[in-house]
Amino acid sequence: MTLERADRLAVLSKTVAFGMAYILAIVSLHRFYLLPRVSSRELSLAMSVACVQCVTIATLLVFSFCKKMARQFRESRATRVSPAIREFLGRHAAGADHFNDIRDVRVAYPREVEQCLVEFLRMVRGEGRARLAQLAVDLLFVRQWQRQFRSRNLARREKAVANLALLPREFAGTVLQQAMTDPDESVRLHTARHMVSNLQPGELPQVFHLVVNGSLVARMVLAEDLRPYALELAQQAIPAVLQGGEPRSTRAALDVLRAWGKFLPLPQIYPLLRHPDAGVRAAALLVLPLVPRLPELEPEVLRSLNDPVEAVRTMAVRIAAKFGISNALPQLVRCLHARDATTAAAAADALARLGPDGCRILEQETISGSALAASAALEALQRLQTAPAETVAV
Amino acid sequence: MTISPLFLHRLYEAFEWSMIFYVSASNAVYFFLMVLGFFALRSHRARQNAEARAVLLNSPLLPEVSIIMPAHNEALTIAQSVRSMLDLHYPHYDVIVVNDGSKDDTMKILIDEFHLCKSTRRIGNAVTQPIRGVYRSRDPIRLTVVDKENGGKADALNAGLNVARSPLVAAVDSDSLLEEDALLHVVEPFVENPGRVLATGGIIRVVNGCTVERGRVTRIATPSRVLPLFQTIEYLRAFLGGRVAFSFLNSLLLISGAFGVFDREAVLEAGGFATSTVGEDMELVVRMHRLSRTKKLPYLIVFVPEPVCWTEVPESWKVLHRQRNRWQRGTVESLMAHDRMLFNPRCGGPGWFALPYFVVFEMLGPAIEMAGYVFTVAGIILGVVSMKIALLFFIVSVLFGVLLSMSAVVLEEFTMRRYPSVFDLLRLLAAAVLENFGYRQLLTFWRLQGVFDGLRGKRGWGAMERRGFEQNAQTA
Repeated sequence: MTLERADRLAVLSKTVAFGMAYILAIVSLHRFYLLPRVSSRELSLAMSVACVQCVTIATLLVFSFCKKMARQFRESRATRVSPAIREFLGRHAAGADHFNDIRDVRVAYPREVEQCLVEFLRMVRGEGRARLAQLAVDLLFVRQWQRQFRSRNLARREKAVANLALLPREFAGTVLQQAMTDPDESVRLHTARHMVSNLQPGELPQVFHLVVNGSLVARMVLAEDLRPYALELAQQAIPAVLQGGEPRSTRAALDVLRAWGKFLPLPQIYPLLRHPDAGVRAAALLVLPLVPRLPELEPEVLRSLNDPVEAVRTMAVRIAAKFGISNALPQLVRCLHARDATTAAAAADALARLGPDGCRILEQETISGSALAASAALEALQRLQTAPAETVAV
Repeated sequence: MTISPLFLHRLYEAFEWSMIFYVSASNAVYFFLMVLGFFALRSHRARQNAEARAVLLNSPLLPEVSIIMPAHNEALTIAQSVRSMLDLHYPHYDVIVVNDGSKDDTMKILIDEFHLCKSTRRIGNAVTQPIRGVYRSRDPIRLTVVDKENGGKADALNAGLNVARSPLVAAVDSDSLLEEDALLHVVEPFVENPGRVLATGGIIRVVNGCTVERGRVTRIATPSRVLPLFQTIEYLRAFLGGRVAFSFLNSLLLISGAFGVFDREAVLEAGGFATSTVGEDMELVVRMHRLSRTKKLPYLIVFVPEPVCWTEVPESWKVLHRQRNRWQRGTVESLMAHDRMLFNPRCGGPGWFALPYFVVFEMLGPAIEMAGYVFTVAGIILGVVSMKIALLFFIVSVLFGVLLSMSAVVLEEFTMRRYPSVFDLLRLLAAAVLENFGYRQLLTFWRLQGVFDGLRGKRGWGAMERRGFEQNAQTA
């Protein structure tokens, strides 16, 4: 498990604290209770260890059972009272004033009211949501969530953020903005995801900033959440990152485009094929099929087939096959003889996709001197035989 | 020169005291690891986000994985295992089954069940026993079968590495079942720390006693037979306590051969799986530690507590003996092969903590513990050991062992809660007590035999008798 540094420190300090408490309990039991009663010092110590361990096990078991029972009790209580709460909330959202009823229920069942209110906030839009948001403020839930956000418990912080993100931003105060700059990426990611689910004007670039500057996990998760906003982002936010040219964020933006798999008007991809960073060049090649085809496509791909970096050449081989660039035949033959098995296999596949000329070359290559090229050619030809539909598509 | 009886008596007592000290120390270390594992596990679980994980499953940015399943005489379970592997929740993966010269119908079953035809698929450069043929399915499934001469598990894994093309490879035993989302869980550390993680391993659980339908565990329960039940306790103790803690300290020396994911490039760079040892899983991980440490590369070898791989454990004493002997030989061989890492300043945590731990408690432990039992019993019979010392030895070796096993069960109940019924929990607690009276001592003896066999350089894998997953579920 890969925990953040703070978490690691917390785990270590808890272990040390527990260990010290444990030793203290053993020593106390040994010195003040067992030693006067047991003749041997060593036996007394051993028995103290066994007793403390037994008590620890029993405590943990009892605690675990109690937790389980409490959960079951809460669930059964929620099943019993939730329909009535939902009824009140539904009517309140529809315009009737049930504030006093809900407030009275809240006194007895605060957890259930909170749960139902959050459920409704997730479902209801428009005027109804505004009324429910006001209700959350009046019932002091908002203040409670704002307080929970300051907790050191990660789960509690995330829950608070999730709830506050459902409200109009003026109710949430500065909490969401603070959460977006939280040192813990997990909180930032959680906040961004909930902001996307109730997006307010001007927040999209902020979330996208996290996508391109965050970890790969954040990128992967948020890319899916931002899919509906792809066209909007392609107008300003993405071109700005691509033109910025900073390798890390550019690669991240290209990853997002690949994850979306959507055709977008982004001619800014082409200049990236000459970017000094090989990773950017490879990633740009990969998304070429997702942007408008410009006249410079073919010369750029042909140039990339001669790229000094193997990974870029391999990517260019795949793209040449995808676009059916028949002028690439000589370069593809050269790539087929590459030392790298992946490049050779990709080149063989590309030649197979390029129709009769490519297949003829592959047939010749099966009896060539290079074992790697021959086996790659043979495999590609066999695949072509058993999957003809693939070639027709190209 | 004559030796006085008093001197002999004192010597005997001193020896007994050192035994007591050793067993106490080993229990204290186990306990420390368990406490560390407990807090690490809780912290890890607090960070789990099921919603985000569901989103990850749709992402085309997830790395591709090739699952390599070596199979040797697995006719009874192979079809079900492969079907279960083909049905995982992961967007980009393929399955490579390596038939390692099976003498039963394994290959025929594979050909018939999955409609295999010969393929010209290119094979990499790692040297293995001769390949008889590479097959792929005519059906739209990503399955490749490599048929080769028998060369052992490591050789089969190397053959699979030769055929694999994905950046990550998962080594999975063909007698194991993976949970649907196991692969995603175990790949997550690679995504969280791109370029740093070399290998990850998942938790292995005992399938005996569970209900298996169509290659999936549909009902989790403890085995009703004593032998698998005792092994369930051992697995809980080893995985939830030890491995979580070692992973936390980035000193994990063992990723179980039943289920582990590796960075393919890193494995190839390390030289692949070693065919000269029966503990190829541990040897590779230790080698990866050594290479990364000596090159001063930042790296992580991670244990992930969630992904569940269900495995069939031996139900007969004979097979269990063979298995434990092999495990112990594997440990000895791996430790001897990398003895230069011991207290090597460049080897950090693995060299200063994990390896000494394995040498002192896993390799030498059985000999010392056995000597303790023999000398205590002999001392009582001869009247040279006082009752106080005998009682003390009993408390530290047996009672502390009981408490540790119970702690493992409590750890499971407190963190993972995979056994839903209270009856199962009680059965596990009872087993945690009973396994310390006879079973543990027998295992210690077998492990001691394994140490000697390992030092003598004994080879050989030993056959496992399979009963089939569903058969097991009905009878266990």
